[in-house]
Amino acid sequence: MKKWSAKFSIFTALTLITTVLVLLPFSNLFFNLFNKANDVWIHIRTFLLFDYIKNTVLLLVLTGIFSGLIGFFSAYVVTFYEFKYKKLLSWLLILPLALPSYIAAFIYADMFSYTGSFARLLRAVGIHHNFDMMSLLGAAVIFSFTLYPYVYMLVKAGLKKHNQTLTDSAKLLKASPFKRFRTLTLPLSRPALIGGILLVLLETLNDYGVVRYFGVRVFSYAIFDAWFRLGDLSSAIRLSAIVVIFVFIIVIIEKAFRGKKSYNILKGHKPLRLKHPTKTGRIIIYFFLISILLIGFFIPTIEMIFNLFTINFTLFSVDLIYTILNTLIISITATLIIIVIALAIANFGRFAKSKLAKGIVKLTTLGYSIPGAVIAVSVLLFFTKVDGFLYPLYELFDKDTKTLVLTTSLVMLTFAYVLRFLTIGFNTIDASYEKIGTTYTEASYTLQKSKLKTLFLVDIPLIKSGLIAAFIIVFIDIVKELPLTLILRPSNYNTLATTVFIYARDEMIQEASAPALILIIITVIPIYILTHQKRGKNHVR
Amino acid sequence: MKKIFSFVLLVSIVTLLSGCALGSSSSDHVITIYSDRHYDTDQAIYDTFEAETGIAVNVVKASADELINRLQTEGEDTEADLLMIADAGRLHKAKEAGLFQAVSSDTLVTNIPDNYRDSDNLWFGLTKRARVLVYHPDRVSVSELSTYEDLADPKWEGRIVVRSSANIYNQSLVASLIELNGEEPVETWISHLTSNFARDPEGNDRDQAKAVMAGEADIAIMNTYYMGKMANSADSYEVDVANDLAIFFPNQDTTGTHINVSGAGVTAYSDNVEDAIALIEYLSGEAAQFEFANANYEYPVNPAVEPSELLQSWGSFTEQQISLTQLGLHSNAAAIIMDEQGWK
Amino acid sequence: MFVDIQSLSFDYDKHTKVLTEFSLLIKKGDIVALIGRSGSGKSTVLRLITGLETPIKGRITVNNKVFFDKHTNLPPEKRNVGMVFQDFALFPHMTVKKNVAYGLDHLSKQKKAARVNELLELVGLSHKEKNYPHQLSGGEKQRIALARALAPKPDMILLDEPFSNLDTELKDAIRDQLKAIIKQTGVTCIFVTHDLKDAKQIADKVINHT
Repeated sequence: MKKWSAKFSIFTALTLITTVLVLLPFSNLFFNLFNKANDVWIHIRTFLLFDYIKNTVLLLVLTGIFSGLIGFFSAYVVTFYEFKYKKLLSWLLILPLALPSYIAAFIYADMFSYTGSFARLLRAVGIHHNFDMMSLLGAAVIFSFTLYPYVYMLVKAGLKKHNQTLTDSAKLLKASPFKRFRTLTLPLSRPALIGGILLVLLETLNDYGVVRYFGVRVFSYAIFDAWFRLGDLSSAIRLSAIVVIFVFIIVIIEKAFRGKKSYNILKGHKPLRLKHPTKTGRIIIYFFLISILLIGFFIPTIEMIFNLFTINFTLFSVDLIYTILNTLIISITATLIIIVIALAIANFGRFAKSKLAKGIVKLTTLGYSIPGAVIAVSVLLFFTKVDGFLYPLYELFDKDTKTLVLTTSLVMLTFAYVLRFLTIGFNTIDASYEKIGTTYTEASYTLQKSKLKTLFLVDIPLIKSGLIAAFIIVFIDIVKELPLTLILRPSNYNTLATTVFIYARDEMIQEASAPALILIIITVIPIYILTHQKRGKNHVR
Repeated sequence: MKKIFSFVLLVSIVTLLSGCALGSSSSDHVITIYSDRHYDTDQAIYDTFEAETGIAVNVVKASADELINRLQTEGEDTEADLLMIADAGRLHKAKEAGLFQAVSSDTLVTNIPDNYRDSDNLWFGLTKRARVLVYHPDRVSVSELSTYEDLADPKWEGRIVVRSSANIYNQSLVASLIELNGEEPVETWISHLTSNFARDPEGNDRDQAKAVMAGEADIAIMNTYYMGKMANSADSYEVDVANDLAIFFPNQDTTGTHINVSGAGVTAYSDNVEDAIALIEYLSGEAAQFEFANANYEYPVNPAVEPSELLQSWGSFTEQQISLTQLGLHSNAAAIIMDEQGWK
Repeated sequence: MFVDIQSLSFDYDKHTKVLTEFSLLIKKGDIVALIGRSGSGKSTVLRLITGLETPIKGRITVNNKVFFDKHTNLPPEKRNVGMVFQDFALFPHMTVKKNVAYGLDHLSKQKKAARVNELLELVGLSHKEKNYPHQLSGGEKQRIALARALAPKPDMILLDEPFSNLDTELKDAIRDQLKAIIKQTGVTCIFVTHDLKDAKQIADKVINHT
């Protein structure tokens, strides 16, 4: 007990509460696994499961390869070559992050359909071929072009650490450019490449909008299909458990591929000498980068702007304004809660030495690897139980209270957001804590300041840019979030994401354009701030 | 700092509680309807209803599956007085889940033919859609077309498109054929039908018509409702699709064209049953039915009301003469057979 | 005894013993040097006294106040022990003046300003009060760190490798300065070093810790 007396603090308390709140829904989910298999499950297992696994694996493999190639080579080009408008292009390459995959999917499916602009264009030039966008391959392409920035950003950061001396010595050893690339560039950036692909794959597994719209039978589709169409929650839970196994396999593969090697890069290295491409080289570079940007961001965005004109849509209806407000309010609230909890956990974790404490931190920030469909199932189950448990308390306030006070309330949705996005907030904050080390904080403790005072007087000012980054990244993710919001939102509560999805589902792509564009604007602005934020002397990009 | 924290905590608790209090209080003449229909027409009808009766209608919109799920989760707590969703199979699912209560109303019995009502009067069909064949007149002549059953014929190999088996309208079509022909013939039919598919099922109903237009296939199985929507689309290219393709009502000489409904029932835990019944009655009445028919390309369920001009231009036809309750009874069997026979 | 440490043990995990049965007695006003190889756990002793680490067993008493025993474990902020860190840990976002005033929340505004001035004069850096830490030289940083640690009038002060971050030319001058400042305030002091010369020149008592 005495050990706790000094260590026990508001950080420990918040961390432990969060751990319990994170673990309860998931363990509740897994207890349901032991129920007896029913007819629906037998049906799924016999006729559908193989297809689900096959499609999921195929989608992940294709998306991993495409996004890896696009992300790696775009990062390679902007790091090693010098050309005009490079700075602008290297920033623009992050932009597809502002375009949710499902919006890109709706727009491309529409453009490629018989009456769509692209198909009409092809017919006008005499090509009578139909590109089948609404397929597994189409989905893989959509994911790759909208999610590659994860690979791009990580690889670019990794390549920046490259040392000119290394390249020079390789050259002196008469290594061909290809050999240099294979033996030097690729291994040095492998951890970043694999890490980036992992993020892309986790996002792909999480997606519901694209696969539902395209009818690609992968696991998120399957979970909701079992839950809603077949009306069988227990099958949905079993499928969820399989997804979680999938996630673990991917994470283990990532660890294996990344290897344990960490490369110590020589300090005070010479900056990279940039290559000046030939004229043909320049054309290839521009063609490559501009195609990525057009496909990943500008074509869908411009198409949506045209859509606005074709339907004479009033850009700001009262409903839309409410939707925007809803989106902003819940995103900001949930982000703030996440930042506060992440800050507490990071503080708990950085002074913790026991394996147990480190394990607690890992467990609590597990959410990002769990697909939205699974979180939705577990949170809903959990909250109906919580409400049952709290019912006597509700009765104290209101004699004829309903039982489900928290279930399908905004509290539940916010809870789900926290569960899923805590990881991202925590990782960003933890990274900036790692940069400043622990001595400032310890110095403050020895100067008779409590933990809370130290947090506000020392920690927060020192990791301010990290906190802003965490806020922005989490905020963008919540604004774009679809599956959780769609399933867990209260009646008639719409965010921009759900509005776009519902219009698209009801075959009203044109009407979906206005909310989709506003969503993109809301995410582009913080991305701009984030990438143009000054950190000391160095710009991020 | 601690003071600020506790203050914020207090404020949020108070807001939360007052929010709950506001949420639970409702005046007498408001009914809440859970609806998967998202049409401006519906709102106009509710407005007229409120003007005539003083009963306000609060609409909660979501997809049918979400609404059924939500009603199940909410149980006695629900605010919903009515559930209004498309497809008889789903209405039956809601009935099986105990979400409806029986209603006895002479008006409903008069307005709605008995095969479009639940056999136990738990739900009532309000609008009808026919599942028809849409074909390209240049590539298919009317004389080739006859029945749903005929689509299994090898002459249609690689010429048919339809959306996925997950789509409830396909499930209901198959359920109706099970009711008429029995399970085994339907199994054989589907196994041949799927080998006639031009591609793996994908997209929505409109996409099927577009695939026919694009030459990927010659026949699409789809709902009349979407042909109406395309004929009146803001996108002139969609209008062309609707105009260039033709509609065929199958099984005219045999069992009739498959009909499905969008319908409503009073929820089991409604605390406003009378008003809820009043709304269903109103919706089945001539005025509302006329609105449904003319604004939304649906066939009115009330025989006293004529379909819209566009729908009449497609011609009149013989309907399947089965009780839609049967669609629900066979819907699980239908889903299983479709999965077994590889209808993706 | 003013500082009374009895059979203190500590480890980071079960396999590596960092400190076993360590005891130490110090008179009021003494300067004690703790000398030993790097990694011998001498810095850990300082961290245990400040409360930044928790011992497995043992007892720490300073000025008749129990910091740690079977029943108590005072948090660092309640121990009234000042510490000068190896890398000084001056808050980079605060001026010199703010840094020194940081531990003086209990004083009124005027008293606080007076105490800050007094200490800046003591370390001879009054003219730098508006500067930020990155604008100071290594020696200046050390003196500010010392001033900051001394400001709240701690019962004792701990210095972790005070000279390791300084250039050798500077060291001799600074050593004397440091000793003068500490002796002037009369505060009890433990410092950790791996350099016997440092230890002998400053300390009243040298303890070899292996």
